[in-house]
Amino acid sequence: MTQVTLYKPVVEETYEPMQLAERGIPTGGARLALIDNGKANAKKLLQLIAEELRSRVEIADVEIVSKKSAGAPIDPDTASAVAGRSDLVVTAIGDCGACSACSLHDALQFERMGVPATVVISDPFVNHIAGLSAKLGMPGYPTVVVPHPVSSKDEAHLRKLAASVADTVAANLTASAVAAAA
Amino acid sequence: MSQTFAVEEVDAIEMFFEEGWTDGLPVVPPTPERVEAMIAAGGLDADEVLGTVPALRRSVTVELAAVNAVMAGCKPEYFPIVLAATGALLDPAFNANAVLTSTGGSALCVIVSGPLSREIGMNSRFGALGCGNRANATIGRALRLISINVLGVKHGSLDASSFGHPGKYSLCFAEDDPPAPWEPHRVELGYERDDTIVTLVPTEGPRQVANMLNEDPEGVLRTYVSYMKVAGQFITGKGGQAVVIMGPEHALAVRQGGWTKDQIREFFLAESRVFPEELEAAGVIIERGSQHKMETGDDGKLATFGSVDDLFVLTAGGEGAGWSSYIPTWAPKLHSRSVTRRVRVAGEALPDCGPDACEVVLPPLDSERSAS
Repeated sequence: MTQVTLYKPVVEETYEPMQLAERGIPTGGARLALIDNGKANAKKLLQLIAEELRSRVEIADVEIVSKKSAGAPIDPDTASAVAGRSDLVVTAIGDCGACSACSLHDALQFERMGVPATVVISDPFVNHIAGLSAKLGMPGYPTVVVPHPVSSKDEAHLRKLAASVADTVAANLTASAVAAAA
Repeated sequence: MSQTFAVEEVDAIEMFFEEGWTDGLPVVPPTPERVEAMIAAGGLDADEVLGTVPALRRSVTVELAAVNAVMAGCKPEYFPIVLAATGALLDPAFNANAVLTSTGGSALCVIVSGPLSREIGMNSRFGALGCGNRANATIGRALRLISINVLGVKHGSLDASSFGHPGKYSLCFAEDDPPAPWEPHRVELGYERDDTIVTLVPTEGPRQVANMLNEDPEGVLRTYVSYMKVAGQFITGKGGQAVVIMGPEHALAVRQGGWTKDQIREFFLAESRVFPEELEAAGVIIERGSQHKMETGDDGKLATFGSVDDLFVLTAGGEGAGWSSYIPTWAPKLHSRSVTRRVRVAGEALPDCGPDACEVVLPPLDSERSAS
Protein backbone atom coordinates (compact mmCIF):
# COMPACT_ATOMS: atom_id res chain seq x y z
CA MET A 1 0.00 0.00 0.00
CA THR A 2 1.40 3.40 -0.94
CA GLN A 3 0.65 6.57 0.93
CA VAL A 4 0.38 9.88 -0.92
CA THR A 5 0.43 13.41 0.41
CA LEU A 6 -2.39 15.56 -0.89
CA TYR A 7 -3.50 19.14 -0.44
CA LYS A 8 -6.81 19.92 1.24
CA PRO A 9 -8.93 21.98 -1.18
CA VAL A 10 -10.74 23.79 1.64
CA VAL A 11 -9.87 26.35 4.30
CA GLU A 12 -10.46 26.04 8.00
CA GLU A 13 -12.95 28.75 8.81
CA THR A 14 -11.66 31.66 10.78
CA TYR A 15 -13.95 34.40 11.96
CA GLU A 16 -14.28 36.53 15.03
CA PRO A 17 -17.20 35.30 17.11
CA MET A 18 -19.85 38.01 17.27
CA GLN A 19 -21.64 39.09 20.40
CA LEU A 20 -25.41 39.56 20.33
CA ALA A 21 -26.54 43.10 21.10
CA GLU A 22 -27.85 43.69 24.59
CA ARG A 23 -31.60 43.31 24.83
CA GLY A 24 -33.97 45.75 26.55
CA ILE A 25 -36.77 48.16 25.65
CA PRO A 26 -36.08 51.84 26.42
CA THR A 27 -38.56 53.83 28.47
CA GLY A 28 -41.17 55.36 26.24
CA GLY A 29 -41.00 52.55 23.74
CA ALA A 30 -38.64 51.19 21.11
CA ARG A 31 -38.00 52.68 17.68
CA LEU A 32 -38.49 49.78 15.29
CA ALA A 33 -36.75 49.62 11.89
CA LEU A 34 -38.05 47.17 9.29
CA ILE A 35 -35.49 46.25 6.63
CA ASP A 36 -37.46 45.32 3.52
CA ASN A 37 -35.33 43.48 0.92
CA GLY A 38 -37.80 44.15 -1.88
CA LYS A 39 -38.94 40.55 -2.31
CA ALA A 40 -42.63 40.19 -3.09
CA ASN A 41 -44.71 40.58 0.10
CA ALA A 42 -41.63 41.36 2.24
CA LYS A 43 -42.75 44.91 3.00
CA LYS A 44 -46.36 43.89 3.58
CA LEU A 45 -45.37 41.09 5.94
CA LEU A 46 -43.03 43.38 7.87
CA GLN A 47 -45.77 45.99 8.28
CA LEU A 48 -48.19 43.35 9.54
CA ILE A 49 -45.57 41.98 11.92
CA ALA A 50 -44.98 45.51 13.23
CA GLU A 51 -48.74 45.91 13.87
CA GLU A 52 -48.80 42.62 15.79
CA LEU A 53 -45.68 43.56 17.73
CA ARG A 54 -47.36 46.63 19.17
CA SER A 55 -49.50 44.40 21.38
CA ARG A 56 -46.44 42.55 22.66
CA VAL A 57 -43.69 45.16 22.93
CA GLU A 58 -43.85 48.90 23.60
CA ILE A 59 -43.21 50.47 20.18
CA ALA A 60 -42.69 54.22 19.92
CA ASP A 61 -42.08 54.49 16.21
CA VAL A 62 -41.82 52.32 13.05
CA GLU A 63 -39.59 53.03 10.04
CA ILE A 64 -39.37 51.00 6.83
CA VAL A 65 -36.05 50.89 4.99
CA SER A 66 -36.20 49.25 1.56
CA LYS A 67 -33.03 47.73 0.09
CA LYS A 68 -32.22 48.15 -3.59
CA SER A 69 -31.54 44.44 -3.98
CA ALA A 70 -32.38 41.38 -1.96
CA GLY A 71 -29.18 39.80 -3.23
CA ALA A 72 -26.88 42.24 -1.48
CA PRO A 73 -26.41 43.17 2.19
CA ILE A 74 -27.64 46.56 3.37
CA ASP A 75 -25.32 49.40 2.45
CA PRO A 76 -23.00 50.04 5.47
CA ASP A 77 -23.65 53.81 5.57
CA THR A 78 -27.39 53.22 5.56
CA ALA A 79 -27.01 50.53 8.21
CA SER A 80 -25.04 52.89 10.46
CA ALA A 81 -27.58 55.63 10.06
CA VAL A 82 -30.49 53.30 10.78
CA ALA A 83 -28.67 51.80 13.79
CA GLY A 84 -28.23 55.30 15.17
CA ARG A 85 -31.94 55.94 15.24
CA SER A 86 -33.36 52.46 16.03
CA ASP A 87 -33.73 50.19 19.05
CA LEU A 88 -35.03 47.09 17.27
CA VAL A 89 -34.62 45.73 13.74
CA VAL A 90 -36.54 43.09 11.80
CA THR A 91 -35.22 42.04 8.37
CA ALA A 92 -37.29 40.14 5.79
CA ILE A 93 -37.83 38.14 3.83
CA GLY A 94 -35.37 35.31 3.35
CA ASP A 95 -37.35 33.06 1.01
CA CYS A 96 -34.50 32.17 -1.27
CA GLY A 97 -30.86 31.28 -0.89
CA ALA A 98 -29.29 34.63 -1.65
CA CYS A 99 -31.80 36.89 0.05
CA SER A 100 -31.96 34.85 3.25
CA ALA A 101 -28.18 34.97 3.44
CA CYS A 102 -28.19 38.74 2.91
CA SER A 103 -31.03 39.44 5.32
CA LEU A 104 -29.27 37.32 7.94
CA HIS A 105 -26.08 39.25 7.28
CA ASP A 106 -28.05 42.50 7.77
CA ALA A 107 -29.47 41.30 11.08
CA LEU A 108 -26.00 40.35 12.31
CA GLN A 109 -24.65 43.74 11.22
CA PHE A 110 -27.17 45.45 13.46
CA GLU A 111 -26.37 43.06 16.32
CA ARG A 112 -22.74 44.06 15.95
CA MET A 113 -23.73 47.73 16.09
CA GLY A 114 -25.59 47.11 19.34
CA VAL A 115 -29.14 46.94 17.96
CA PRO A 116 -31.17 43.77 18.69
CA ALA A 117 -32.33 42.26 15.42
CA THR A 118 -33.98 39.24 13.92
CA VAL A 119 -34.51 37.86 10.42
CA VAL A 120 -37.62 36.29 8.90
CA ILE A 121 -36.88 33.31 6.63
CA SER A 122 -39.04 30.67 5.02
CA ASP A 123 -38.72 27.08 6.20
CA PRO A 124 -36.72 25.51 3.36
CA PHE A 125 -33.81 27.79 4.23
CA VAL A 126 -33.41 26.90 7.87
CA ASN A 127 -30.36 24.71 7.20
CA HIS A 128 -28.91 27.24 4.80
CA ILE A 129 -29.10 29.99 7.42
CA ALA A 130 -27.87 27.72 10.18
CA GLY A 131 -24.75 27.03 8.15
CA LEU A 132 -24.23 30.67 7.37
CA SER A 133 -24.81 31.81 10.95
CA ALA A 134 -22.10 29.45 12.12
CA LYS A 135 -19.81 30.68 9.39
CA LEU A 136 -20.43 34.27 10.45
CA GLY A 137 -19.57 33.48 14.07
CA MET A 138 -23.09 33.15 15.41
CA PRO A 139 -23.97 29.48 15.42
CA GLY A 140 -27.59 28.90 16.31
CA TYR A 141 -28.63 32.53 15.79
CA PRO A 142 -32.38 32.62 16.43
CA THR A 143 -34.51 33.34 13.36
CA VAL A 144 -38.21 33.64 12.58
CA VAL A 145 -39.41 30.88 10.26
CA VAL A 146 -42.52 31.08 8.09
CA PRO A 147 -43.88 28.38 5.78
CA HIS A 148 -42.77 28.66 2.15
CA PRO A 149 -43.98 30.25 -0.11
CA VAL A 150 -44.80 33.73 1.06
CA SER A 151 -44.46 35.72 -2.15
CA SER A 152 -47.67 34.43 -3.70
CA LYS A 153 -49.95 34.86 -0.68
CA ASP A 154 -52.74 37.42 -0.30
CA GLU A 155 -53.11 39.94 2.53
CA ALA A 156 -55.52 37.82 4.55
CA HIS A 157 -52.98 35.01 4.61
CA LEU A 158 -50.11 37.36 5.46
CA ARG A 159 -52.09 38.76 8.35
CA LYS A 160 -52.50 35.27 9.82
CA LEU A 161 -48.81 34.58 9.25
CA ALA A 162 -47.78 37.76 11.04
CA ALA A 163 -50.02 36.91 13.97
CA SER A 164 -48.54 33.40 14.15
CA VAL A 165 -44.91 34.55 14.32
CA ALA A 166 -45.26 37.74 16.34
CA ASP A 167 -44.49 36.00 19.62
CA THR A 168 -41.25 34.61 18.17
CA VAL A 169 -40.29 38.00 16.80
CA ALA A 170 -40.92 39.60 20.17
CA ALA A 171 -38.97 36.90 21.96
CA ASN A 172 -35.99 37.14 19.62
CA LEU A 173 -35.84 40.91 20.08
CA THR A 174 -36.10 40.95 23.86
CA ALA A 175 -33.99 39.48 26.64
CA SER A 176 -35.96 36.30 27.36
CA ALA A 177 -35.25 34.55 24.03
CA VAL A 178 -31.56 35.38 24.07
CA ALA A 179 -31.10 33.93 27.53
CA ALA A 180 -32.86 30.77 26.40
CA ALA A 181 -30.74 30.42 23.27
CA ALA A 182 -27.39 30.94 25.04
CA MET B 1 -1.59 28.08 3.58
CA SER B 2 -3.50 24.96 2.61
CA GLN B 3 -3.00 21.92 4.74
CA THR B 4 -1.68 18.65 3.43
CA PHE B 5 -2.54 15.20 4.66
CA ALA B 6 -1.54 11.64 3.91
CA VAL B 7 -3.90 9.02 2.54
CA GLU B 8 -3.61 5.60 0.92
CA GLU B 9 -3.25 6.18 -2.82
CA VAL B 10 -6.04 3.70 -3.63
CA ASP B 11 -8.42 5.50 -1.29
CA ALA B 12 -7.75 9.07 -2.45
CA ILE B 13 -10.55 9.46 -5.01
CA GLU B 14 -13.22 7.96 -2.74
CA MET B 15 -12.05 10.08 0.18
CA PHE B 16 -12.58 13.29 -1.77
CA PHE B 17 -16.16 12.18 -2.52
CA GLU B 18 -16.77 11.39 1.13
CA GLU B 19 -15.45 14.74 2.28
CA GLY B 20 -17.82 16.57 -0.07
CA TRP B 21 -14.93 18.09 -2.00
CA THR B 22 -16.25 17.26 -5.48
CA ASP B 23 -18.96 18.38 -7.90
CA GLY B 24 -20.31 14.84 -8.00
CA LEU B 25 -17.63 13.63 -10.44
CA PRO B 26 -14.24 12.18 -9.47
CA VAL B 27 -11.38 14.63 -9.06
CA VAL B 28 -7.65 14.43 -9.70
CA PRO B 29 -5.82 14.03 -6.37
CA PRO B 30 -3.89 17.26 -5.69
CA THR B 31 -0.33 16.09 -5.01
CA PRO B 32 2.35 18.64 -4.12
CA GLU B 33 4.01 18.11 -7.51
CA ARG B 34 0.82 18.86 -9.42
CA VAL B 35 -0.11 21.84 -7.26
CA GLU B 36 3.36 23.38 -7.42
CA ALA B 37 3.46 23.03 -11.21
CA MET B 38 0.07 24.73 -11.40
CA ILE B 39 1.15 27.62 -9.15
CA ALA B 40 4.35 28.08 -11.15
CA ALA B 41 2.37 28.41 -14.38
CA GLY B 42 0.38 31.30 -12.92
CA GLY B 43 3.41 33.44 -12.15
CA LEU B 44 1.97 34.64 -8.82
CA ASP B 45 2.93 33.81 -5.25
CA ALA B 46 1.09 30.93 -3.66
CA ASP B 47 -0.27 33.01 -0.78
CA GLU B 48 -1.45 35.93 -2.88
CA VAL B 49 -5.13 36.63 -2.26
CA LEU B 50 -7.25 36.72 -5.42
CA GLY B 51 -10.27 38.17 -3.63
CA THR B 52 -12.73 37.86 -0.78
CA VAL B 53 -16.45 37.32 -0.50
CA PRO B 54 -17.23 39.10 2.79
CA ALA B 55 -20.72 37.64 3.11
CA LEU B 56 -19.16 34.17 3.04
CA ARG B 57 -16.13 35.18 5.13
CA ARG B 58 -13.88 33.47 2.62
CA SER B 59 -10.81 34.51 0.67
CA VAL B 60 -9.29 32.67 -2.26
CA THR B 61 -5.52 32.38 -2.50
CA VAL B 62 -3.50 31.37 -5.56
CA GLU B 63 -2.61 28.13 -3.80
CA LEU B 64 -6.21 27.17 -3.11
CA ALA B 65 -7.18 28.04 -6.66
CA ALA B 66 -4.31 25.85 -7.88
CA VAL B 67 -5.37 22.90 -5.70
CA ASN B 68 -8.87 23.05 -7.12
CA ALA B 69 -7.62 23.55 -10.68
CA VAL B 70 -5.55 20.37 -10.33
CA MET B 71 -8.62 18.57 -9.01
CA ALA B 72 -10.63 19.79 -11.98
CA GLY B 73 -8.10 18.25 -14.33
CA CYS B 74 -6.53 21.49 -15.59
CA LYS B 75 -3.12 21.50 -17.19
CA PRO B 76 -0.74 24.13 -15.76
CA GLU B 77 -0.93 26.19 -18.97
CA TYR B 78 -4.65 26.77 -18.30
CA PHE B 79 -3.95 28.38 -14.94
CA PRO B 80 -3.57 32.03 -16.05
CA ILE B 81 -7.10 31.79 -17.46
CA VAL B 82 -8.38 30.15 -14.27
CA LEU B 83 -6.80 33.01 -12.28
CA ALA B 84 -8.49 35.65 -14.44
CA ALA B 85 -11.85 33.88 -14.17
CA THR B 86 -11.46 33.57 -10.39
CA GLY B 87 -10.71 37.28 -10.14
CA ALA B 88 -13.92 38.00 -12.03
CA LEU B 89 -15.86 35.66 -9.74
CA LEU B 90 -14.60 37.50 -6.67
CA ASP B 91 -15.30 40.99 -7.99
CA PRO B 92 -17.99 42.54 -5.76
CA ALA B 93 -19.92 43.56 -8.87
CA PHE B 94 -20.37 39.91 -9.79
CA ASN B 95 -21.89 39.30 -6.35
CA ALA B 96 -20.68 35.73 -5.96
CA ASN B 97 -22.68 35.25 -2.77
CA ALA B 98 -25.97 35.81 -4.58
CA VAL B 99 -24.98 33.93 -7.73
CA LEU B 100 -23.73 30.85 -5.89
CA THR B 101 -26.38 30.56 -3.18
CA SER B 102 -29.54 31.59 -5.04
CA THR B 103 -32.39 29.22 -5.73
CA GLY B 104 -31.97 30.38 -9.34
CA GLY B 105 -29.19 27.83 -9.84
CA SER B 106 -26.83 29.94 -11.95
CA ALA B 107 -23.89 28.59 -13.90
CA LEU B 108 -20.55 30.38 -14.08
CA CYS B 109 -20.30 30.92 -17.84
CA VAL B 110 -16.68 31.57 -18.81
CA ILE B 111 -16.08 33.22 -22.20
CA VAL B 112 -12.45 33.36 -23.32
CA SER B 113 -11.52 35.74 -26.13
CA GLY B 114 -7.95 35.96 -27.37
CA PRO B 115 -4.87 34.15 -28.64
CA LEU B 116 -4.15 32.26 -25.41
CA SER B 117 -7.39 30.33 -25.90
CA ARG B 118 -5.98 28.87 -29.12
CA GLU B 119 -2.52 28.27 -27.65
CA ILE B 120 -3.91 26.06 -24.90
CA GLY B 121 -6.23 24.21 -27.24
CA MET B 122 -9.65 25.54 -26.20
CA ASN B 123 -12.59 24.73 -28.44
CA SER B 124 -14.38 27.56 -30.24
CA ARG B 125 -15.83 25.49 -33.04
CA PHE B 126 -17.73 22.21 -33.33
CA GLY B 127 -19.23 21.30 -29.98
CA ALA B 128 -17.86 24.44 -28.31
CA LEU B 129 -20.51 24.36 -25.57
CA GLY B 130 -20.49 20.63 -25.11
CA CYS B 131 -18.20 17.99 -23.72
CA GLY B 132 -15.00 16.58 -25.17
CA ASN B 133 -12.45 19.36 -24.86
CA ARG B 134 -10.17 19.24 -21.82
CA ALA B 135 -9.48 22.99 -21.59
CA ASN B 136 -13.15 24.02 -21.92
CA ALA B 137 -14.28 21.36 -19.47
CA THR B 138 -11.66 21.80 -16.79
CA ILE B 139 -11.36 25.60 -16.72
CA GLY B 140 -15.10 25.89 -16.10
CA ARG B 141 -14.94 23.05 -13.61
CA ALA B 142 -12.08 24.67 -11.66
CA LEU B 143 -14.27 27.71 -11.02
CA ARG B 144 -17.07 25.52 -9.67
CA LEU B 145 -14.72 23.53 -7.41
CA ILE B 146 -13.31 26.80 -6.05
CA SER B 147 -16.87 27.90 -5.32
CA ILE B 148 -17.68 24.62 -3.57
CA ASN B 149 -14.48 24.11 -1.63
CA VAL B 150 -12.87 27.49 -1.05
CA LEU B 151 -15.98 29.68 -0.89
CA GLY B 152 -17.77 26.86 0.86
CA VAL B 153 -20.97 26.93 -1.17
CA LYS B 154 -21.90 23.28 -1.27
CA HIS B 155 -24.86 21.45 -2.69
CA GLY B 156 -27.29 20.65 0.08
CA SER B 157 -26.30 23.55 2.30
CA LEU B 158 -25.40 27.02 1.07
CA ASP B 159 -26.09 26.20 -2.59
CA ALA B 160 -29.84 26.53 -2.48
CA SER B 161 -30.46 25.93 -6.20
CA SER B 162 -33.98 24.72 -6.76
CA PHE B 163 -32.93 23.01 -9.99
CA GLY B 164 -29.60 24.23 -11.24
CA HIS B 165 -28.61 22.90 -14.67
CA PRO B 166 -25.75 20.92 -16.23
CA GLY B 167 -23.84 24.13 -16.98
CA LYS B 168 -23.01 24.20 -13.28
CA TYR B 169 -20.48 21.42 -13.91
CA SER B 170 -18.77 23.61 -16.49
CA LEU B 171 -19.89 26.17 -19.08
CA CYS B 172 -16.77 27.50 -20.74
CA PHE B 173 -15.89 28.16 -24.36
CA ALA B 174 -13.61 30.23 -26.55
CA GLU B 175 -14.69 32.83 -29.09
CA ASP B 176 -14.02 32.04 -32.73
CA ASP B 177 -12.74 35.41 -33.92
CA PRO B 178 -15.03 36.71 -36.68
CA PRO B 179 -13.71 37.89 -40.03
CA ALA B 180 -13.63 41.61 -40.82
CA PRO B 181 -15.45 43.90 -40.58
CA TRP B 182 -16.70 42.33 -37.34
CA GLU B 183 -14.35 42.65 -34.37
CA PRO B 184 -13.70 40.08 -31.64
CA HIS B 185 -15.37 40.48 -28.24
CA ARG B 186 -12.13 41.67 -26.54
CA VAL B 187 -11.62 44.44 -29.11
CA GLU B 188 -15.22 45.56 -28.75
CA LEU B 189 -14.67 45.83 -25.00
CA GLY B 190 -11.62 48.02 -25.58
CA TYR B 191 -8.83 45.47 -25.15
CA GLU B 192 -5.99 44.85 -27.59
CA ARG B 193 -6.35 42.22 -30.29
CA ASP B 194 -3.35 40.38 -28.77
CA ASP B 195 -4.85 40.40 -25.27
CA THR B 196 -6.74 37.43 -23.93
CA ILE B 197 -9.69 38.21 -21.70
CA VAL B 198 -12.18 36.27 -19.64
CA THR B 199 -15.79 37.44 -19.40
CA LEU B 200 -17.67 35.72 -16.59
CA VAL B 201 -21.46 35.73 -16.87
CA PRO B 202 -23.90 34.28 -14.33
CA THR B 203 -26.24 32.34 -16.60
CA GLU B 204 -29.06 29.91 -17.10
CA GLY B 205 -28.52 27.05 -19.51
CA PRO B 206 -28.11 27.73 -23.24
CA ARG B 207 -31.04 27.70 -25.63
CA GLN B 208 -30.26 26.41 -29.10
CA VAL B 209 -31.51 28.86 -31.74
CA ALA B 210 -32.69 27.09 -34.90
CA ASN B 211 -33.09 28.90 -38.19
CA MET B 212 -32.32 26.75 -41.19
CA LEU B 213 -34.02 28.33 -44.16
CA ASN B 214 -33.75 32.10 -43.84
CA GLU B 215 -30.80 34.16 -45.08
CA ASP B 216 -32.48 37.50 -44.49
CA PRO B 217 -30.50 39.19 -41.68
CA GLU B 218 -33.52 40.60 -39.89
CA GLY B 219 -35.34 37.31 -40.21
CA VAL B 220 -32.43 35.46 -38.62
CA LEU B 221 -32.13 37.99 -35.80
CA ARG B 222 -35.85 37.79 -35.04
CA THR B 223 -35.41 34.13 -34.22
CA TYR B 224 -32.97 35.05 -31.45
CA VAL B 225 -35.42 37.72 -30.27
CA SER B 226 -38.13 35.09 -29.91
CA TYR B 227 -36.09 33.58 -27.07
CA MET B 228 -35.40 36.97 -25.49
CA LYS B 229 -39.10 37.78 -25.07
CA VAL B 230 -40.20 34.46 -23.61
CA ALA B 231 -42.48 35.08 -20.62
CA GLY B 232 -41.02 32.21 -18.65
CA GLN B 233 -37.52 33.70 -18.76
CA PHE B 234 -36.84 35.38 -15.44
CA ILE B 235 -35.14 38.45 -16.90
CA THR B 236 -37.89 39.24 -19.44
CA GLY B 237 -39.07 42.75 -18.77
CA LYS B 238 -36.73 43.15 -15.81
CA GLY B 239 -33.32 44.11 -17.21
CA GLY B 240 -30.75 41.32 -17.41
CA GLN B 241 -27.84 40.41 -19.64
CA ALA B 242 -27.30 37.78 -22.30
CA VAL B 243 -24.67 35.98 -24.32
CA VAL B 244 -25.59 35.56 -27.99
CA ILE B 245 -23.34 33.13 -29.85
CA MET B 246 -23.89 33.29 -33.59
CA GLY B 247 -23.13 30.08 -35.46
CA PRO B 248 -21.37 30.26 -38.82
CA GLU B 249 -24.46 30.29 -41.06
CA HIS B 250 -26.29 32.98 -39.11
CA ALA B 251 -23.17 35.11 -38.68
CA LEU B 252 -22.46 34.89 -42.42
CA ALA B 253 -26.00 35.84 -43.43
CA VAL B 254 -26.15 38.82 -41.10
CA ARG B 255 -22.64 40.05 -41.86
CA GLN B 256 -23.10 39.71 -45.61
CA GLY B 257 -26.33 41.66 -45.23
CA GLY B 258 -24.15 44.57 -44.11
CA TRP B 259 -25.07 44.55 -40.41
CA THR B 260 -22.49 45.63 -37.85
CA LYS B 261 -22.43 44.09 -34.37
CA ASP B 262 -23.52 47.46 -32.94
CA GLN B 263 -26.59 47.32 -35.15
CA ILE B 264 -27.28 43.77 -34.04
CA ARG B 265 -27.16 44.79 -30.36
CA GLU B 266 -29.42 47.80 -30.97
CA PHE B 267 -31.89 45.54 -32.75
CA PHE B 268 -31.91 43.04 -29.89
CA LEU B 269 -32.28 45.83 -27.32
CA ALA B 270 -35.31 47.32 -29.05
CA GLU B 271 -37.03 44.15 -30.18
CA SER B 272 -36.75 42.36 -26.84
CA ARG B 273 -38.98 44.91 -25.11
CA VAL B 274 -42.34 43.43 -24.06
CA PHE B 275 -45.81 44.74 -23.23
CA PRO B 276 -46.88 43.87 -19.67
CA GLU B 277 -49.89 42.15 -21.23
CA GLU B 278 -47.58 39.65 -22.96
CA LEU B 279 -46.26 38.53 -19.59
CA GLU B 280 -49.69 38.57 -17.95
CA ALA B 281 -51.16 36.51 -20.78
CA ALA B 282 -48.64 33.82 -19.86
CA GLY B 283 -49.56 33.98 -16.19
CA VAL B 284 -46.58 36.06 -15.15
CA ILE B 285 -47.68 38.73 -12.69
CA ILE B 286 -46.00 42.12 -13.00
CA GLU B 287 -44.16 43.02 -9.79
CA ARG B 288 -45.24 46.26 -8.20
CA GLY B 289 -43.47 47.98 -5.32
CA SER B 290 -40.72 45.37 -5.23
CA GLN B 291 -37.00 45.39 -5.97
CA HIS B 292 -37.58 44.81 -9.69
CA LYS B 293 -38.62 48.14 -11.15
CA MET B 294 -40.99 46.92 -13.85
CA GLU B 295 -41.91 50.29 -15.26
CA THR B 296 -42.96 50.73 -18.86
CA GLY B 297 -41.24 53.21 -21.16
CA ASP B 298 -42.85 55.66 -23.56
CA ASP B 299 -43.63 52.76 -25.87
CA GLY B 300 -45.68 51.11 -23.11
CA LYS B 301 -43.18 48.28 -22.94
CA LEU B 302 -40.80 46.80 -20.37
CA ALA B 303 -37.08 46.41 -21.11
CA THR B 304 -35.54 42.94 -21.05
CA PHE B 305 -32.08 44.48 -21.37
CA GLY B 306 -31.12 47.87 -19.95
CA SER B 307 -28.50 48.77 -22.55
CA VAL B 308 -26.57 47.44 -25.55
CA ASP B 309 -23.68 46.76 -23.15
CA ASP B 310 -25.77 44.00 -21.59
CA LEU B 311 -25.73 42.01 -24.80
CA PHE B 312 -22.56 40.07 -25.65
CA VAL B 313 -22.64 39.08 -29.32
CA LEU B 314 -19.98 36.56 -30.27
CA THR B 315 -19.20 34.07 -32.99
CA ALA B 316 -18.42 30.41 -32.31
CA GLY B 317 -19.67 26.95 -33.13
CA GLY B 318 -19.36 24.63 -36.10
CA GLU B 319 -21.09 24.62 -39.47
CA GLY B 320 -24.33 22.73 -39.57
CA ALA B 321 -27.98 23.11 -40.30
CA GLY B 322 -28.15 26.65 -39.01
CA TRP B 323 -27.76 26.71 -35.25
CA SER B 324 -26.82 29.41 -32.77
CA SER B 325 -26.93 29.71 -29.01
CA TYR B 326 -28.58 32.16 -26.63
CA ILE B 327 -27.66 32.20 -22.93
CA PRO B 328 -29.46 34.68 -20.64
CA THR B 329 -28.35 35.63 -17.17
CA TRP B 330 -30.15 33.91 -14.30
CA ALA B 331 -31.46 37.14 -12.78
CA PRO B 332 -31.82 40.88 -13.43
CA LYS B 333 -28.65 42.93 -13.39
CA LEU B 334 -29.33 44.50 -10.02
CA HIS B 335 -28.49 41.14 -8.43
CA SER B 336 -25.33 40.32 -10.31
CA ARG B 337 -23.59 41.45 -13.43
CA SER B 338 -20.98 40.08 -15.79
CA VAL B 339 -17.34 40.94 -15.06
CA THR B 340 -14.40 40.86 -17.48
CA ARG B 341 -10.76 40.43 -16.55
CA ARG B 342 -7.68 40.47 -18.73
CA VAL B 343 -5.52 37.33 -18.50
CA ARG B 344 -2.07 38.10 -17.10
CA VAL B 345 0.41 35.70 -18.58
CA ALA B 346 3.01 34.28 -16.18
CA GLY B 347 6.08 36.50 -16.04
CA GLU B 348 4.23 39.58 -17.21
CA ALA B 349 5.68 42.65 -15.46
CA LEU B 350 3.52 44.83 -13.25
CA PRO B 351 2.73 48.31 -14.59
CA ASP B 352 5.56 50.76 -14.01
CA CYS B 353 4.30 53.59 -11.82
CA GLY B 354 7.35 55.73 -12.39
CA PRO B 355 10.27 56.59 -10.09
CA ASP B 356 8.43 58.91 -7.69
CA ALA B 357 5.29 56.93 -7.09
CA CYS B 358 4.42 55.37 -3.75
CA GLU B 359 7.10 57.18 -1.81
CA VAL B 360 6.16 57.61 1.84
CA VAL B 361 8.10 59.38 4.55
CA LEU B 362 7.96 57.32 7.72
CA PRO B 363 8.62 59.00 11.08
CA PRO B 364 11.81 57.86 12.78
CA LEU B 365 11.40 54.96 15.17
CA ASP B 366 12.34 57.07 18.25
CA SER B 367 9.51 59.55 17.90
CA GLU B 368 7.10 56.68 17.37
CA ARG B 369 8.14 55.18 20.67
CA SER B 370 7.89 58.47 22.56
CA ALA B 371 4.49 59.22 21.03
CA SER B 372 2.95 55.98 22.29
